[in-house]
Amino acid sequence: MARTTPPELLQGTLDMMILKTLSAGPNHGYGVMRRIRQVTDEVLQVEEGSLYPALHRLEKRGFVRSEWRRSESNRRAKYYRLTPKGRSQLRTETARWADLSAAIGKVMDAATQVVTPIPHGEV
Amino acid sequence: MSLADLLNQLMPHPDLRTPDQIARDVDDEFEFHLASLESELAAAGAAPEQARQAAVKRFGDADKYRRQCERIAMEDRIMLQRINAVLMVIVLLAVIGVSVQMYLTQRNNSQALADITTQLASMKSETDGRLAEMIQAMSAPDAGEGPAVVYVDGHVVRPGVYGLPKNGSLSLARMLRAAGGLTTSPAHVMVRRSIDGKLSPVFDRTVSDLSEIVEGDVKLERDDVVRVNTPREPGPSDKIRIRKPESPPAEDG
Repeated sequence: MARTTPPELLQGTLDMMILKTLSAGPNHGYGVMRRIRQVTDEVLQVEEGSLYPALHRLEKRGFVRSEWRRSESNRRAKYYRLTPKGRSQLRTETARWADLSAAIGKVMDAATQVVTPIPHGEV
Repeated sequence: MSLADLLNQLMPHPDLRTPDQIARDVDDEFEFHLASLESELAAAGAAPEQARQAAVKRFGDADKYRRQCERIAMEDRIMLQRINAVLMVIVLLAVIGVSVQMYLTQRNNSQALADITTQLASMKSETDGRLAEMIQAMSAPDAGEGPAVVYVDGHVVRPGVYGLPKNGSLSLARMLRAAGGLTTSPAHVMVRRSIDGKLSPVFDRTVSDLSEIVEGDVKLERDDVVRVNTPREPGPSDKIRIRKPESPPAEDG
């Protein structure tokens, strides 16, 4: 299957991936982005800067909290960690995502059947 | 979930950083990301200059993301400012309301105070007046012996004893008119008064009409005796010299 452009990120899926990544432990924005890249085998091509408005919005909604700390490379870095509220939000979104992908999967499976030839006499 | 976590979740967390601090934090965060990405790319074998360029490219439109982050951070501030402004207006209105209330109360109070003061003053003067009257009545028993009267006798329509008005004065002409007027003309009119224990005439003239008395009229006093005779009848005054206190003696220039 030839792919000319990298897949677009669905609305809201970046938030969900951030929460999921932070559920493994506190991390800074760069760490979150690197982890997403590694897990997805660099399939998703998003501008890395777009992570920050999403992170800041999650913090405003109380799903994550941040603090400035020294990184492994002894640089000043902003670390984010999941709050209990963020953890329950992640559960909700995970369940929703499962439902959504299952529904989409069914549609896609059905679509493959549609292209099979319809026998004569049946419409 | 611990109690601290619960409280943390319930409490609002307004962003109290200044716009400068917010901008600096966003810059620092982006710079850390770019530097980390650059080292990662350099470690993977990119030349330093290319590593930086590649990092910037992969980061995307930093200005756009910076503006978005700043706007998200400022939402709280703007909200706080609006709440502040509303609170200020409410406080201002309350202060104005209380001030007006205080001013009105004070004005009413001072008005009431002025009224009470006026009432008290009038009550005091009334009481003073009555007291003075009572004191006068008690301290001047001789003056209070019977009403002040004058005696009118002779050729008048209604001779008799007449009371003097308490306030003001009574002239001879008025007295005679009150007694009904003269019954003879010309008439000899004489007023005698007790001066130093002796009856002395203070008016003694023959007139044809009451209007003639107007000139040189006398003011009657307590216990004066007014006698109207015909000119022929000899009065007690014939024995004494005529005295006219009102007309000064003529002086030669």
